[in-house]
Amino acid sequence: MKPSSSGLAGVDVERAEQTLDEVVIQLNRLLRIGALHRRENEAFRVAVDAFIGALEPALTLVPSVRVHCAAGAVYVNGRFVKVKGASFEAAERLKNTFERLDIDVIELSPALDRENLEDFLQAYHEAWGGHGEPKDLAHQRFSGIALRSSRATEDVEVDRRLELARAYAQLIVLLQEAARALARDQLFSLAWVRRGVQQLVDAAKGQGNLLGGLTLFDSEERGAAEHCAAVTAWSLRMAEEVGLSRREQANLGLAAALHHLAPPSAIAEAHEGETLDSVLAFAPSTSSLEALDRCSLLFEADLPARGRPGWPVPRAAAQCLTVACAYDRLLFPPDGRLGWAPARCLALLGRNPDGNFDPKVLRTFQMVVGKIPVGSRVRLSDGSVAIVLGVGERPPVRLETAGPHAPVIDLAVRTDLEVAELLDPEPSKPSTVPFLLG
Amino acid sequence: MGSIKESWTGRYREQRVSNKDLRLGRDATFCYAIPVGGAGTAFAQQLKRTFNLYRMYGEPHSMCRAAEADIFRVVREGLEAEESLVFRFEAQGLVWNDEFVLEDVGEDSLTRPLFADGVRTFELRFGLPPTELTDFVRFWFQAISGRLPPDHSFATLVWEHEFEHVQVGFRAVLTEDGSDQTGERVHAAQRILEGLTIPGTDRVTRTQPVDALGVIQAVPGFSEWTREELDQAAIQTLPQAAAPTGYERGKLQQGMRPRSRGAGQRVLWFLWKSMPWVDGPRWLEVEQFLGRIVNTLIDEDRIQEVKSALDRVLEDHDHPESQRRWISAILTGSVVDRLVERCDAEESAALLKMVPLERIPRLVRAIPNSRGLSRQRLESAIIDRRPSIQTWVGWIADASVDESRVWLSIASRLSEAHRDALLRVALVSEHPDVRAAAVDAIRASELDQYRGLLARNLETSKPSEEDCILRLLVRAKDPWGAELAARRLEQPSLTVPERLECIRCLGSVRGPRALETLIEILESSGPKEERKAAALALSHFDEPRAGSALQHASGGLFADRGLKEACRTALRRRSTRSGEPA
Repeated sequence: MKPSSSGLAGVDVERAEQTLDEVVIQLNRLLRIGALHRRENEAFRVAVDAFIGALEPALTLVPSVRVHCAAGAVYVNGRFVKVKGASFEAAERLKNTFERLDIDVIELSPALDRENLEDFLQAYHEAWGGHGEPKDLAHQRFSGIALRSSRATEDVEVDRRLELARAYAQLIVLLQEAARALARDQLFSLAWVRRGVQQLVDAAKGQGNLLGGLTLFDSEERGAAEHCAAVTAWSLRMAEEVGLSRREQANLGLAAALHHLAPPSAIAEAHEGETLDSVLAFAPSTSSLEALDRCSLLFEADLPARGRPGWPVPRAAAQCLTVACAYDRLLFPPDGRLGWAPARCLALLGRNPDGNFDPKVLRTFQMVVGKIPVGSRVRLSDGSVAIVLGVGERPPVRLETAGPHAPVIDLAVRTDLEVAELLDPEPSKPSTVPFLLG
Repeated sequence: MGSIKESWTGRYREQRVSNKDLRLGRDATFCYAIPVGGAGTAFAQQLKRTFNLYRMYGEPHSMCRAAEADIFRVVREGLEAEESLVFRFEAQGLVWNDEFVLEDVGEDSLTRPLFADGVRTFELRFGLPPTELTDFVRFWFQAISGRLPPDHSFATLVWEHEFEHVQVGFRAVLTEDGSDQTGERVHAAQRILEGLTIPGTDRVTRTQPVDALGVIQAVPGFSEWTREELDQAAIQTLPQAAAPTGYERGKLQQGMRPRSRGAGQRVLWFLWKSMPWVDGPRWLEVEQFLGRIVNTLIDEDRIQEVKSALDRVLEDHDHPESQRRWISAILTGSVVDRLVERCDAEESAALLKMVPLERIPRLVRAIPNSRGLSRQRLESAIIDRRPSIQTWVGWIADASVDESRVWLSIASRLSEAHRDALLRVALVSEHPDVRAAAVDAIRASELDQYRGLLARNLETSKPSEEDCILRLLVRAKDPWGAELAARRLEQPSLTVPERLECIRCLGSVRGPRALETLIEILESSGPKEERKAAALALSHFDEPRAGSALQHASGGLFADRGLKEACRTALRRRSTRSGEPA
């Protein structure tokens, strides 16, 4: 059995996924039949039975089933519907239905019984059959089933968060491709990586805290690409903080994205001439001044803030990479070892060993990370464990036990609660990132 | 009158275009490029025409600028009517108002590269200035013609340019073929997104480190940490850091901005400082990298940065061997050639003075084609190196005729020893012309030094080389010259001018053998031009026999009038020289 989570508590994750996929399949069938037939029709009844048969077991696993269509993809409870099989076909058709209804979300709760469902389907049939506008359905209220448009503020936020997560995921994939190519001494398209960084810059606008939280993403295969993506994210945060333009942010981000991409062993084990190897890996693409500047940054990022005798003093841009790199290495040490809690890593960096980091850059970094970094696991004063969702002394949190879709508790409002303790990572604990995307 | 029919998406119209229009070019195409379909179709037509002109003439050409003006006019008219023009990219072409206005045909697709790059739509908005449209069109052309700047795609260029009135829509999913939901990349991204969004799917198997100190020591800056320090740092949080002040933010901004100026110099310096880690295999990579950096800097007209970096390298006296390898890697043959082309610039000339010795011959090859200051700089780049005789001989061993001449001109400014070595090598060259050039360079006073080599060359020499030797002997007034001239006159293949030259040489060299030969020619019944030349040549002789021969020839009853005049001239010259009456 895979690690459990509060979202799918105590169950086999694969079985839960299959159950949710089945809901998507049956929902699609139900809506198609509901558009064509009235409740007197035999097919209608069969479809309703099948749907309820699929929904009931799902609602024993999750508090509600939430089918969400965003940016051309369909998610069930925040999870992508896999691009294969019957569930995917159903998801594809659901997208059309969602489009006609002008909605993005259908949420099914335990309050949905047969009677409520049939009422909804009656209205759905009428709206679809020309007695009204399908779009009007989104304004009606039904018990146990909610249709929402992404124009609602909350859902816009959800969309934007997912968009950022997707941009971050894509950057990791692009960097993984690049790292593989570099390991094989093959050329790769730097334009794609640049594009990935640019997309991240756009998606991160106004969502800096979430971007910082995404850097806590961990996986069994976490390697150079994930590390570089995290350093990119922090570099973008710092660049935005000091007021660099969009283009300047992307330039710094690109240097960060490449800073330890090659050789792949670079973050696993430091070795003499490691930086040189990193730079040499990009030598074939140094045909512009911008590329040379990037190479220079890679060298500078390896230097302490005061430089070395006879070496140039590194620029603030390089120090951004150095600080972010060190932070990420403390969070995720190589060889699958467990690091420290984000706040503790920040505290360690704050000690600025041997003046290795530029104090100005370090303070900027501490500012963007926040005193209690987003994604931290904390114990509240009532003993419950929560995940930090924002910055500040009294940040918004989500209770870990309530799952990633649980309501947000804003400690600024709930003055009876406060952060009592910062918890270090534990070997069996899953990532806190899904709580941020909730 | 010419008739042009343009077919487009199944709708076409015929337009009459005058020959004058065709001659003017600018409006002829424009006239028939306005299709029935409206602004979007007209834009597409103009775009196609502009791209064709770009291909034919290059973007800066006036025809292209006129085409850009035309395309702007079309768009402006369209925008006056419709506020905005929205186009959509499909795999098969460009769509406007649900109709294909550009269709993908064969390999020269105007739309496929952009579609594959993820471009989904673009919208031209009211108020669009011509510069924005021109930039957009040029980016488009660069994308379809493979001329994008390094490490850029159309999408990244457009993103960086931040157009105000051109809105470009991209697919959020980065797929190689432009499709929305295919490919390994999409699947991989979705797997990661699952890890980001679904608790428990990240499958992390991290374990507590056996030694936390080991973890922290692997982080830059913490390598020297001790267990005590780590224990002291066990506190969980520190007070919130103070935000950087305004001044500090300014400094940070400055330090975080891209800085292309000096980038090459910095990278070169870092590479130099990394040399202790450069072993055999790495050196090959470093060597290639250096070449690439220098070529980039030359392309970008930043030669000064190469110069500055090399100056610093040369100041580092502890590593002479590395310095040598570096200079050799930076100033490669092709780089030297590029620097030579730019050697009117001071920094290029300075770099040329560092060219490795083995590449000096490249400079020599460039000198014959250079003039003025460039030539002076090239020559001084060689002379300042003061090569050893051995190196010098190595350079000139295989020199061509032109190169030999350059070497000879340079040798005289180096040292006598260099000159001597050069002449000795050149005199035994396989090429007769090189040998001839060397003979021409020998001074009269140096004849004895090279007499042996000259004599040996004469055994196998060609007429041109003999001429050179003869001229040398004449300059040296050496009796050997008379021998050579007389021997040459016996050759039946000699042309008239060459024979006349030999005769004049005899007069200049003088000596008994010359006198004998000249009198013989004067008294012969040979060509009168030769006899006249012999008469004039005899004026250089003070011997009475010369006077007698001239007297006799001038008094001949049936002698040629011209010959008699030449003899009298010669006699006058002799008497002027000796002070006796003719």
